[in-house]
Amino acid sequence: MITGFDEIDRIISPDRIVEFYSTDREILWLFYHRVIVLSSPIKVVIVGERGGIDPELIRRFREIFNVKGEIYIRRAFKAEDVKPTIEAMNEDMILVDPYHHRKLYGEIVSAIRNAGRVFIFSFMDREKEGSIFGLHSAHSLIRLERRSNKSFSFKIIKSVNTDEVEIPYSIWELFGKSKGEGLLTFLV
Amino acid sequence: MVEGYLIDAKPIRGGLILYLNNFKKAFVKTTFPVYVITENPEMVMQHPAVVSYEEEEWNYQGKKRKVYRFEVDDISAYYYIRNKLNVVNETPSVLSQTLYRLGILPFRWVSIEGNEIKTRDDDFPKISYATLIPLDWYGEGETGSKIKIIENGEERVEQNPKVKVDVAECLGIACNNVEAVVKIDIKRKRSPVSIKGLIEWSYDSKVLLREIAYATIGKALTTNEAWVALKRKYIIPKVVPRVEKMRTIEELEKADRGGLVIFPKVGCFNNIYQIDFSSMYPSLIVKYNISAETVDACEDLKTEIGHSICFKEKGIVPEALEWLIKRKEELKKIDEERAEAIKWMLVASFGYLGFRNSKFGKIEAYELVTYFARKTLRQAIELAEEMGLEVLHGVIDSLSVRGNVKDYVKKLEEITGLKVKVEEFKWMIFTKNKEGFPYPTRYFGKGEGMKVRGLIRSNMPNVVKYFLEEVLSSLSKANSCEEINVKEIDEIYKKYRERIVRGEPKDYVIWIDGIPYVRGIKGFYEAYNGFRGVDVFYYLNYLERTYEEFKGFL
Amino acid sequence: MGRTQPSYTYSLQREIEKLERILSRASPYLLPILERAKAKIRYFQNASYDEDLSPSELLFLALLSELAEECKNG
Repeated sequence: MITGFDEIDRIISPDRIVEFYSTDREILWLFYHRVIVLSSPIKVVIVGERGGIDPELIRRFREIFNVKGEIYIRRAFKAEDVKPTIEAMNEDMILVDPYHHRKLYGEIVSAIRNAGRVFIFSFMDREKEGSIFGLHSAHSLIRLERRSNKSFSFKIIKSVNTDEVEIPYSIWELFGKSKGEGLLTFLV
Repeated sequence: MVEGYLIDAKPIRGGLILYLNNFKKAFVKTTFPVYVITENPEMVMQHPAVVSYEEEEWNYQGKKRKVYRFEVDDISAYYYIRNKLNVVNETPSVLSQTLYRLGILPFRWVSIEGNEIKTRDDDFPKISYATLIPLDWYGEGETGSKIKIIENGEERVEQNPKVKVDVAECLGIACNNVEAVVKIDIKRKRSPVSIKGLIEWSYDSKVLLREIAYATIGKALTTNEAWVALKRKYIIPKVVPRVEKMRTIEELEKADRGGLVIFPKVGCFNNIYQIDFSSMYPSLIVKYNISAETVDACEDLKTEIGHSICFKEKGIVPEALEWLIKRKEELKKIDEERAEAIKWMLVASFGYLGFRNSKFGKIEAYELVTYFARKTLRQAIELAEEMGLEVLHGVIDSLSVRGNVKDYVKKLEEITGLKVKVEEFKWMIFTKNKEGFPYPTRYFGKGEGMKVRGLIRSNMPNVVKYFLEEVLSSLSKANSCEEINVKEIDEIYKKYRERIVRGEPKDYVIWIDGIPYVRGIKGFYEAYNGFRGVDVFYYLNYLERTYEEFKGFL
Repeated sequence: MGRTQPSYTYSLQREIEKLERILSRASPYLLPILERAKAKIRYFQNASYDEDLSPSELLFLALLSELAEECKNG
């Protein structure tokens, strides 16, 4: 399971439970679609009543990275579905917004602990919502922040092997384009 | 001896007080059943109100489970136990199950003499019922100098009425003007059903009016389904955690869709037939036996979206809905209002299959229903084209065609196995949206009366609504597109422009989310505090935009 | 309207907007053709409902059809 950003992948490589969180829905949304494609074949659990994945965006990332791995999905619509769904997935997986309902935290965290390698993507303002919801069970905690119209950054909040550090990228790097490719900068 | 129709019941120590029509009361001795899953029934017996228990074998998701049924003589014991242990079978409520066991059902005739209970099933209770709503200057509200009363179907307006009925629904201060065995606060209602409809719900769902008055349509539906489950000794837990089938994103893409929508050709068309599948989604649920426990239970029927259906046992949801569909058909012949109440439950039945808290549905069942609905509508369209009909429009469960429909309808019912209604229209107009794309959910035409969809929005100012209603009334005189009198519409527009300049306060009211507003010189204000002037230009602009948009449809 | 994925119409609208932005920068003379293709798009949607056609494929189909018609009409 990788993000495709070398610096980030290096930092999180020893960690079993990694959580990316953000209050910027668009950035997190684009990012986890990218991670899903780059990590495929992969299992994904989507938590929440509606929405969660855009097959068209997945298609786009698959084309950009020329990756064809299968993506296996299960949705957990209500809080009580989350734990048994994580258990049914077993092994490594990506979890989209597992704390969405803001309840049954205990059983959800316990299920995450018993799984394989897990990448969590949370739409959450952890600074406001405090230290509940699995803060202590994640081995690394990374926040995505938008810095401007065209850029964002990863802020390593908690890591076993790195201090707090902020790593900036431009948004079109999410789409796999390396720096300075001229005309392509218009296409986002 | 006391006898009458059961309106309400209250549990007390040792039994139930029954409240019958005309304010009669009776007492019945009984215990209350509490179902518990536990390893230690003796512990529960320690509660003073627990009288006895019985070990029973129930079913849960295909497996047999041991359940203890405790009999308590005080309902407070039930509340105590449920806080501490895994109590199941709470829908229908313990109170409803108690009544059912005694043979006493809401709105049925019952006669009590000592310990002897006799019951009778009339088709509809002969009781009195009323709706009371205050009328203020802006329309219906919680306060007002006059009260609108609909008593036993007859409407009147009074200044300070005193109403005494068996069952009433009331809003705001009007609740002070009525005395009833059961009084329902309209503000707390979460369903669009009238009091007569709620009585029908109570009657059909076998639960007290008081328990269903503030229920969502989903709750009423679940209750009906729950009775079927109880009869089969299926455990009904508080929450049913679900794990859906794992699928690839491609498989999910194919199944995660809604109803089929065919974007219409825009404009006015003569001689249209609208073909409607009667209660399509519930009928599909019944036809294909779609229920949480039948989907993927075995592979009697496989489908392209990856789910299969088992026909070995009739599903809980199909059984409940089959009865409701039949009931609606019967009621349509005798009482429109009661049929309407059932219609709401049927309309909600499909959505409820996919609802996260649904006890008897699951997402795969929901996906199967939309799958069959799309397939059915697609079949209907292809058959129409094969038979030389022109297909103009299709939305989920109905399509509009031109041509010879008699043979078509017969063949359609044959190949789909579903009932179909046909309505003939002299003309119909399909509209487009502001971006110029065909807009499938807004159309109107002249059939037996005017059929109008998506044109008059609830948050339009009253005067604009009146304008559109008058325009539609003028349109209803035309028997073809060519006969539509555009000049008359222009005249009506002029008339309403003048009306806005010197209208009545009520004309300017706009209802948004149940609250009445008026647009004044300084902006919007709530109508509750009285009429405080109006920004005439806002309304003139609104009317103009509506008129221009409407002219664009013709 | 799906529970999880955005509706087809919504995804299609996003593709249209993206193409409009690109064309307005790269080849604005194609914009009127896109505009005319838009009028037909819903009917292509009708025809392709049960098929495996992505929104971007459908958009290009509509564009091609419009171009073909213009060529035919000289």
